[in-house]
Amino acid sequence: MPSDATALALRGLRKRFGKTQAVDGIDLDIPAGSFYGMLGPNGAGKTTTLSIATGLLTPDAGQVFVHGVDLWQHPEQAKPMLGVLPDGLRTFDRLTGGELISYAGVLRGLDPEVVRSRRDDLLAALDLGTAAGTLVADFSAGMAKKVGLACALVHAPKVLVLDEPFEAVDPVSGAAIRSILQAFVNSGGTVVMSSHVMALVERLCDRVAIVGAGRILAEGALNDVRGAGDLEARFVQLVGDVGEQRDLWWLRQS
Amino acid sequence: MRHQFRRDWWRLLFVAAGAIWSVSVIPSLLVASHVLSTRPYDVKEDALVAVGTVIALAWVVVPLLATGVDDSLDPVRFAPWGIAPRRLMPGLIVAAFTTVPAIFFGMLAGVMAATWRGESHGGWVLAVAFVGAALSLATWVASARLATLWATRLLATRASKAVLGGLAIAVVALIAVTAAAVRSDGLESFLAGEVATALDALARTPWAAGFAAPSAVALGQPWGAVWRLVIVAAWFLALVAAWRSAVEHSLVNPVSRGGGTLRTQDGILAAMERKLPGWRATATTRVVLARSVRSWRIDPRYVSQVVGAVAMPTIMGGIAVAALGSRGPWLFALPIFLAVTIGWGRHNDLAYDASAVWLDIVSDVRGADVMRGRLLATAGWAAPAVVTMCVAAAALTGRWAVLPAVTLAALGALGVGLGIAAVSSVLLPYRVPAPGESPFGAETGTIGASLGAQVASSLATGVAVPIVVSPLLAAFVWGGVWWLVAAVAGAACGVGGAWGGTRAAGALYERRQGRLIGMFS
Ligand SMILES: Nc1ncnc2c1ncn2[C@@H]1O[C@H](COP(=O)(O)OP(=O)(O)OP(=O)(O)O)[C@@H](O)[C@H]1O
Ligand SMILES: [Mg+2]
Repeated sequence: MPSDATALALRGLRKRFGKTQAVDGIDLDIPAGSFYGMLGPNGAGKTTTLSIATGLLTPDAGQVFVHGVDLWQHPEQAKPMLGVLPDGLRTFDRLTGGELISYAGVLRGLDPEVVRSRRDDLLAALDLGTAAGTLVADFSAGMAKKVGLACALVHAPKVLVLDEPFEAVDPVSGAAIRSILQAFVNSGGTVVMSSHVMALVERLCDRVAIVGAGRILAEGALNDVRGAGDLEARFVQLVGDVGEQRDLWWLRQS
Repeated sequence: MRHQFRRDWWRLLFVAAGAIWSVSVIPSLLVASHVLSTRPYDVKEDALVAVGTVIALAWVVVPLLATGVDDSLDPVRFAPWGIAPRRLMPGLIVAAFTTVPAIFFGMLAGVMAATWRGESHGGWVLAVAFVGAALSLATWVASARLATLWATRLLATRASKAVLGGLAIAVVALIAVTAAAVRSDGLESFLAGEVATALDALARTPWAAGFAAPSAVALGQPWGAVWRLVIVAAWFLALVAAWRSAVEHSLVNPVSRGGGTLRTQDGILAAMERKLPGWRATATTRVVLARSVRSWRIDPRYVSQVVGAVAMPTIMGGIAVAALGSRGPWLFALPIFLAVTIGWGRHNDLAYDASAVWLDIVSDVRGADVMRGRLLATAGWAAPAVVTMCVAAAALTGRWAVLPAVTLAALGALGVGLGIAAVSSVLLPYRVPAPGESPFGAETGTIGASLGAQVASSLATGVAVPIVVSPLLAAFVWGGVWWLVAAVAGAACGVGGAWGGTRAAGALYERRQGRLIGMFS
């Protein structure tokens, strides 16, 4: 069993959808206090892996440990330690942004008074002033991401699992989120996030894993993984370039 | 179309069953048509006008109440591709006329037209009859599409409740007036008087003129036939124009968003602070209740279901009262029927949360708490509706003494029905329109799953509800202590059914939570 110092440990995860082996034996140890980036081409299995790691999707095989607690055996101990931002799922869209945060806080067992003050803090910190009283149904994509992040943070979890947290977020809010997450890691928390933006991962993360076709292709400290060049070159080297560099001659304007 | 069938063979089975059923009723229609064809032209005209009007009405009402039959025609699905309505309309029209109901009613219209054989000027009469029938069919199909588009639009607005209330009052008033007329003059004079007048009037309107036109030819009045056919054709063109503009509107204004509403109060925290004497729900139940109540109020997918659930039994009951004019104890079956309909109708309740349940799952909620919150939200409108129906039945029959027992038995049926629905919605969920989608759509590929869930929950309800209701039946027959038994059985079964159902459903929910999202989406 992984030790308590490992914030998130994945053991032999497998998941198949029909003919697609989405996750094909993933083992990963994410140390407590790290800012962990998960990279991989579209369809690599990142979302599937993170869904299993957060209790949203039953794996075909494998185990998940959150600070040494088996998530699928003891969800009542493991889940409170996790803050989750999934990708591509809906939300209760007839609540307002503020109500959604309150809802998440109450479900996490917080007192209404605590929920109220944390909700207001989060709305201010994430620049969600106008979203507070607007129905989620009327949100833009970036507003939805930010409110989702607020829901993941409201109970002050030990480990944040974020699937593409910066997608569709504007640069100002992106900077705010970056500083929130960095302060969280500096205070001892752990962040696991998936992303396609190499520059962002290089700037934020101290450890990365590169996933391809449901397996881990490379994993470790950022500097070890990227070696001498930059992360993007290493990524392309590992997952392979686009099969054929076909010349789109008809696209040229002159 | 072929692709769709390959993906879901159940659909093919469904269509085949529909086709077999349609074919099997055709002989009886042919017999009816044959019998009618030997009658004088004015009898034919009245019968066909009546049937045509009922069908025209059904084509507007049924697609609205039986939601989720087919959304391959929902234009909103084409919105992301920016196809111009001008190019979309021919495809939509062709698609609308090649559905199973359209083909079946096409055959039916043909049979109706053929009823005109054997008149003088035979050839002309039949030709006019077939043109009239074809035009009528076209108006039926177009009005059904227009009705769902307009209803979708209406449900997304804030005026929807006022309009629905107005419609309900109008329907009730119409039924009441009819009932009063039947009662004061007797059924026969009503049929000979008001109904005959109404049929005469309808024969001059686009709804039924297509079936009245042949009789004008038979009478030797070709112009009478021409203007009737022309108004039906004009009505069809008007419907298509309105349909097109509704399509245009729905492409530019995606329905079912929040409409820019602003809410300053936090309804979730307010629910946490609400203190009711004797009310000891968990925090999870409270907030799930609060968000479900919000959905019942403003989510078009929910509002349309309240309308459907309450309208069907009310209208059927109203028609029965009007037609039979009786005030027998059978009226007390209506609230129970309403309770069972509502309970059974929630058999896929949880799926309306769609993939949004992720927030509940990652928070490690207790399943029973979630199911209880959802059940209470439904009971919040269903129980008053059932009680109102009980009071109405007591008022119509004048038997106020039985009201307590009937009410408790009906609420018992509601509780048991909702309890069963809670279990089935976790056990056999199937996809419904997701938040923000048109409430009148069903994704292709769900017929198999929905059929299974519907059959299973029908069986369970069919077994459980008689247990609750039979003491009431005994009370109506033997009286005496049975009234007490019926009341106690109703109360106990209702509470027990709802409690036990949500408990079992909650246990299932916790066991299946890693698979729920996949089953809803
Ligand atoms: N519910 C599902 N049913 C069927 N196949 C699925 C399902 N979810 C994922 N897949 C398949 O599993 C594979 C991995 O998908 P996943 O969403 O995990 O990729 P990802 O790494 O998150 O990609 P992206 O970068 O595009 O977000 C893909 O081939 C996808 O088609
Ligand atoms: Mg993904």
